[in-house]
Amino acid sequence: MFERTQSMSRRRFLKAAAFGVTGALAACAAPAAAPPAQPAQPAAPAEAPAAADGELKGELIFWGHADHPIYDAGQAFMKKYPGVTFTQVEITDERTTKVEAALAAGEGAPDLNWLEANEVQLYGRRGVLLDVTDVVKQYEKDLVPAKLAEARVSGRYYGMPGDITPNTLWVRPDILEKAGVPMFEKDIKYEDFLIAAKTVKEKADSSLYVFGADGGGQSSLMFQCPFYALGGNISDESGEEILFDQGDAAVRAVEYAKMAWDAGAGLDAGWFSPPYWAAIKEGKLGGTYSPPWMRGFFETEVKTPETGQGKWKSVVLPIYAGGEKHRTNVWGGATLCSYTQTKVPDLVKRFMEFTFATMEGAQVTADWGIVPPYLPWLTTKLKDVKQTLFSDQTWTDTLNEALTLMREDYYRTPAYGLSGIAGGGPLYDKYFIPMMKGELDIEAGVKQWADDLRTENKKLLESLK
Amino acid sequence: MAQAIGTTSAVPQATRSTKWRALLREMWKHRVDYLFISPFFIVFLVFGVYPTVWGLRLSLSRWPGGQKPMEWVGLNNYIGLLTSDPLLGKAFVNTMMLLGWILPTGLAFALIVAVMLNARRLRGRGIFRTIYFLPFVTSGVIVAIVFSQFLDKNYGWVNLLLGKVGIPPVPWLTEAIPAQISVTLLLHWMGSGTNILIFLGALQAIDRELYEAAEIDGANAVQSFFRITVPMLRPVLLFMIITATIGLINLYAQVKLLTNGGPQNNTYTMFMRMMDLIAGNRFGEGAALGFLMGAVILVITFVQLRLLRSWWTVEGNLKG
Repeated sequence: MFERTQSMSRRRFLKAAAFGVTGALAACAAPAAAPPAQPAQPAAPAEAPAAADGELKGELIFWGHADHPIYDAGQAFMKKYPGVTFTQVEITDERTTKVEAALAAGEGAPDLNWLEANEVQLYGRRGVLLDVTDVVKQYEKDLVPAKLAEARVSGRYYGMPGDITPNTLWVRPDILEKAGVPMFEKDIKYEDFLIAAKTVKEKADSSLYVFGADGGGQSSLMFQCPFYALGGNISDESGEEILFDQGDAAVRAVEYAKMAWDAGAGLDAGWFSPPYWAAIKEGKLGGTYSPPWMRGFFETEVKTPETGQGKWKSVVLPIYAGGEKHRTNVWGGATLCSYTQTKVPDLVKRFMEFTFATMEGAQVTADWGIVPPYLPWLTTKLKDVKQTLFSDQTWTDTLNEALTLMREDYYRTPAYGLSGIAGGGPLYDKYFIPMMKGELDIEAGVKQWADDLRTENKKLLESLK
Repeated sequence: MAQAIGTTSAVPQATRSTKWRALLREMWKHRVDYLFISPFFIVFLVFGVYPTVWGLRLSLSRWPGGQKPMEWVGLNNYIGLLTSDPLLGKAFVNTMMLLGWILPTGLAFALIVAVMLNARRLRGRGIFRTIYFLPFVTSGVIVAIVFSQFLDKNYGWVNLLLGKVGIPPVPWLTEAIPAQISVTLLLHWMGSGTNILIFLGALQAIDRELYEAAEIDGANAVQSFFRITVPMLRPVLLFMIITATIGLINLYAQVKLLTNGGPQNNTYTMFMRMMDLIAGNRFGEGAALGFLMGAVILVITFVQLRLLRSWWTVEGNLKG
């Protein structure tokens, strides 16, 4: 555990996270009956809590990795309310262990924590998270529905929705041009994308997607994205029934991933490893499927035009036949939570409200590099986000388009974390790469994967009773 | 009859009570002595006995964590692990393979280097000792990260060097056997320093006169090694085999950082499975696996002791 004064780069954090907390990139649910992803006329922007707020007093402890958007929000909150002290304790891998110890002890858990979707679902079911329904309900119409669902367990909210993560395709047109490949049209077919990727690999020695031999991290997007687009789900909303092998989404998604594997045009480097960053800076990675939060990490590394600064563009993901309506995916994206044992529940709620339900808070977190779910901000300010990675602001247009492609029936329950599809885990390792290598028949592999998931999920749910 | 029983049991009860009183009187007499040794027992009770008993209870319970009560489920956690866990079988095989592979090669390597360092005419022995011990004092996390970079298939220095002599890139971390070799190399690199030092200490404690006598009797270096050195190292060897076995069955951090259990779970160990269960909110099963691992260690240690004892007895008889 380190105090904020000790620095840790984003890259170092992600390295540690990639080793240890792959489950942290999991997520959760959205009800079929939820409202549309992006209302045409969002409500008027809410102002930050006013009136007696100047008298707000108390201390908030937040646990999170270094260089965190919530840290920035904390600074802004303190500036607005001088009577409040916000302290960040830098914790990465050991966070879960320490939280468990505090929960068992009955005290010591942080006032604020940044939980992944499946963690919210897990801890919410355990009843240890602070119920913040009263606050979130006030802003329900102003928050992205799919993200709202991730914070909801059995109709109650156990966190304030954090960053939204619709995946898009990032490309460097200059590298495409070097290979004689025209910049992608808006609606490129997946098969054509792979042909282009092979050409770029041959002629410009650059990859348009990441596909490491271990299949972990960003490589998993080659499966996750078609799975999402084709309507796949790991489980139902309750998290009790495993749907992974229902329908053909999983089988087809594996087949699509195998096409990318067989094309051999992906970047074979460990996600967030030094070779990975070196490849990006040397132009060996000319494209990648990516969630918006990756921009913050990219911008930390890509600091000059020579390394690609200002040379990227963003387009909506390629088309998977039959999956045109949802050509995106959600990967990562956390929720701001607290625990029932917090001694300052009201202050916690005010902070949550400030951070993700006011223009001011949303702007602070967006300046860090994430995309807040606050619709009044999304519809008016997203286009103005200061960034250095992309050549123009069309990436925000793409992001806005991707927001409309998000599903409201994609459930990131605890079973989603168990499956490992968010970037690795023992069940994912057991089946995914053998299917890629052709060592395991795809239909049989998906069936066995689902059966293992059923066994594991049943045990997990029993443990929560 | 009842009266008779009462009469006969009353006597030993009175004797026991007197004995207890005598013991307490004796303890009170030495209370200051007990006070001085009490910190160890307090620490042992709090951090050793209590967690073990609590863990055992947890392994027989279902517990959602936090401050909720445990629910007794008997042996269900153990049965579930042994009959339907989709990953434990693989983790067990991997752990045993790594044990069977790393234990003999690691000890043999350390012994050979220690014998070389023990040579009378070797100059700069201290420098060598420091060099060999250096990996032990280096952070395991850093070492694992550095190894992962060295061994990267496409960008690692090892394959770069192999490429210079025309050898194609080896998938050190992404294919089963090379990954197991990589883990072995890492563990040898990190662990041999301590093993070498322990062997060296034991070697230096062997009376030189034994070697001189053997030399006079016409024994060559190899005969001296097997007839004097190895037998004299028996206690140390036994200690090292048992501690290394325990360490390898509890293997976690290095593998987690180097391969994360991959590729395709080929370096996924029992300890990693236990950690995954605990991190996945399945505390009861995690605790049960911990005790199963303890049982595995006990069985293996017992077999090792029996084998080593019989080997020594046979050898002793032959010599006799």
